[in-house]
Amino acid sequence: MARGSFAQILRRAAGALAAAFGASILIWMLIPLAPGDPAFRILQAQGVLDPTAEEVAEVTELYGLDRPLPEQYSIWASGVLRGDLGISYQSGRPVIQEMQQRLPATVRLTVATLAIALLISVAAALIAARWRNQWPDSLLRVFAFLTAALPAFLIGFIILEFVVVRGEWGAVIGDGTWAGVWLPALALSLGVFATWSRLLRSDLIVAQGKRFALTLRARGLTEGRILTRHALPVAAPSFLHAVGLGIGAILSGAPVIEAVFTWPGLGSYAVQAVSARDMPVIQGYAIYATLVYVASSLAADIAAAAIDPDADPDRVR
Amino acid sequence: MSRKVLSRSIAAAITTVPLLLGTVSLTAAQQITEPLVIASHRAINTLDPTAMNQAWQLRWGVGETLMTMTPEGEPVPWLLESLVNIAPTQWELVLREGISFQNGTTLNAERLAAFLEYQSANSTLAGALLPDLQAEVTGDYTVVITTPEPDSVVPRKLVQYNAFVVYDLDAVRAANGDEDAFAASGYMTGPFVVESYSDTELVLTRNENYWQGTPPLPGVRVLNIPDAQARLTAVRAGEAHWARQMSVDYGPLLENDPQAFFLQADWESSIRIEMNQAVPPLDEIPVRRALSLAIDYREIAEDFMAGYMSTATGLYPAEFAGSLANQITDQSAAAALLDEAGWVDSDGDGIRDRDGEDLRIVLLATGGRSDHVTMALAVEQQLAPIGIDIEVQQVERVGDIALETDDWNAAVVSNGTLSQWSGSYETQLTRYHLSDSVQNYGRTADPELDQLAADLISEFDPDRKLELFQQLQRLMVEERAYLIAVTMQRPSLVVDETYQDYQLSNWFRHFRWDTVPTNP
Repeated sequence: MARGSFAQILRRAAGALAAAFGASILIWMLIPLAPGDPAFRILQAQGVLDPTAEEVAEVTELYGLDRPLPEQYSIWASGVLRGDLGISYQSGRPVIQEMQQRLPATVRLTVATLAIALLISVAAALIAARWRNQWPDSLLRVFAFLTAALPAFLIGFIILEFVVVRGEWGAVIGDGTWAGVWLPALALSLGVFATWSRLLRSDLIVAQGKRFALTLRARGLTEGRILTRHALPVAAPSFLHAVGLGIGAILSGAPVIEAVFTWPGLGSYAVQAVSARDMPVIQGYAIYATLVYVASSLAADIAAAAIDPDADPDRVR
Repeated sequence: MSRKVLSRSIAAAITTVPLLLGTVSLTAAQQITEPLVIASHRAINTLDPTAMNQAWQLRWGVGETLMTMTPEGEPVPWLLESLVNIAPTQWELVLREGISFQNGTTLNAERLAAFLEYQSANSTLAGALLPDLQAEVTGDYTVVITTPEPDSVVPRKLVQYNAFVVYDLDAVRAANGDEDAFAASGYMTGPFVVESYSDTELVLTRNENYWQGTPPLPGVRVLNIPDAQARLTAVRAGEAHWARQMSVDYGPLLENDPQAFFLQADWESSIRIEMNQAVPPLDEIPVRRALSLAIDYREIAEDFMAGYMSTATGLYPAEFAGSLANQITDQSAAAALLDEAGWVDSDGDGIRDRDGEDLRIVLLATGGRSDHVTMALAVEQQLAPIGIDIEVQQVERVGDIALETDDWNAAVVSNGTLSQWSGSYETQLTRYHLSDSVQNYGRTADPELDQLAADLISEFDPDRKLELFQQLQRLMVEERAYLIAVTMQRPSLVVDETYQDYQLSNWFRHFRWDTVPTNP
């Protein structure tokens, strides 16, 4: 990796840290800025819809809600740095502990989603580029528009209705295992399919028009071989950037899909927390999402920088 | 409640209530091999019975209360054989003999007294309901409890299943907060025993030694599925038998669905409109009264809510003993009241005004509750013809706004005029409508109402209490117009075809010890 690229990555890392810090302040402000008495909110999150004055007083004291805001912030921030994300209002258990329990299911879902999304996007892009402006390309374009237009939860419900309820294949209630991950992963992967496949198709077509492709074609190589062996590496850097940013889209779709498929991961945990206004959990999820997003963007930068620039034979040296 | 014997035959409670609720014969039920699977919206947080809001124990048949309620909302003994008021501040509790906790320990007077005193002292909710409770053992199965003040609501308070589910105090103390120890302790008396629980699932097995007989269901699984649509899909896919906490929106949607059925109980409590008496124009009785008279309650229940709610004829359900049908629709009378108060349409814009101010009312509704929003929009539509301009504002949670600001005039609030836990109007009154109420949304400050509430709580004579109850309704609706019951809710449940004829409880006690599929 070139020295310039390394410096650029360092700058990106510093920017990422600054973004994480800024996000942490915004995340913390969720509690004091939310309307209503926090003690009431905590009790309501615990299912006590009509708390008594005694219950409100007990919770106020227990959570230190009568302390000055700067003090509350410093306690929270130092806790986060130590890995202490507070106590869930709903369950009364440490948020970090509950997140650790749910993390494996989300990792499985994310890995499966990435695998499916990469597989179908790359395949669709290659097919569309190979038969550009012919019926396979048009068909894939319509499918991409459809998946882009439909919200993730609707895709989830369509899959549940037609595959699980009517097709009697798979399960509505996810168990968090590899066996049950494929339907929610498919729903989630369709959320990024349109962007990834169309972007890669465009880059592949640009690569197909370059001089090296003309030369290879003149030497008698098939279009398929040119695409897979030579054009794909040339188109890869911008695609990898999109994949890095797409992790964010996957993360933002995960709570909805996890809730729809009752997947016992961090996303459904966050949805539950939002509906109950369980602020420590919402904060914990926001921190997790921010860190994953920042890390994946950084990883995409590094991967793109690491790809051999010489992969493009037309590159002016 | 009477100073005389309040007792009801427990045998009658055992036989009559299940029959009324439509339980099928046990012979068929005993062949059931599959547990009941319930898709619920909320996870079980803890097995610790002293923690707040532990309603699930009774809801899923793990725990029981000393008293229960008939479908009509009358408190009757359950674990008790009788409950007798023997002095203004004293009640005699006689336990049924032969009841044991799931761990085999007998529930006797000594253990009951220990539980009651501990719960009053250590549970914030129980302590708020029955503070400083003293319990004296006067026989093997008899306890006399003493309240600091005369309290005629004790029978209903002992129904309240988020506060007084009976447990074995020794077992709970031995568990010392450890969840696994709670699960293994057999600390309650109910028909089902906790086998395991996590934040995704609660697994129960039947208590073979249950005092009423062997429960026909082998077990119960309660799944935590926060998303309502996912709960419905679980029922339709055959992965759950029941889906809880389904809004009335699902009623019309499921009318022709062969896989899921929307069931409702007959009645429960109201959805009410609170009126902020601290700011104009609802600080005026004639305007509040005009609002109450101008709303067409039948149209809201039958048309806007498509019959999935019942018409509110008064503050309390028509079926509730002593309720008055004094909430009527009379738009002419409403218009006359406003005319008399000087609210007229002087500028011809269709909105009444006075001293240059339009008669405009900000009505809050919880945005996430489509039924509340529909009701608010219905009220807006109904009040426009008589010149009241309603501005519906959807907010995240009405309660927070209503308590903390005065930027509103009226608010749709769901927890009605009767407690869903106990059927008590006294506890709702105390919580929401008195000068010192913790959730006094309307800013009501009426010494006469405060005194009336105090008299109601300390009155034991049934005839006099009924008189006071009706006086309260006249005061709150006709004379001061503090409150509007906009419609009457009905508890609901979505079930699969095997439970499609199941009879629901008016009090959310849908699951019973002898619950069985109605179409196995």
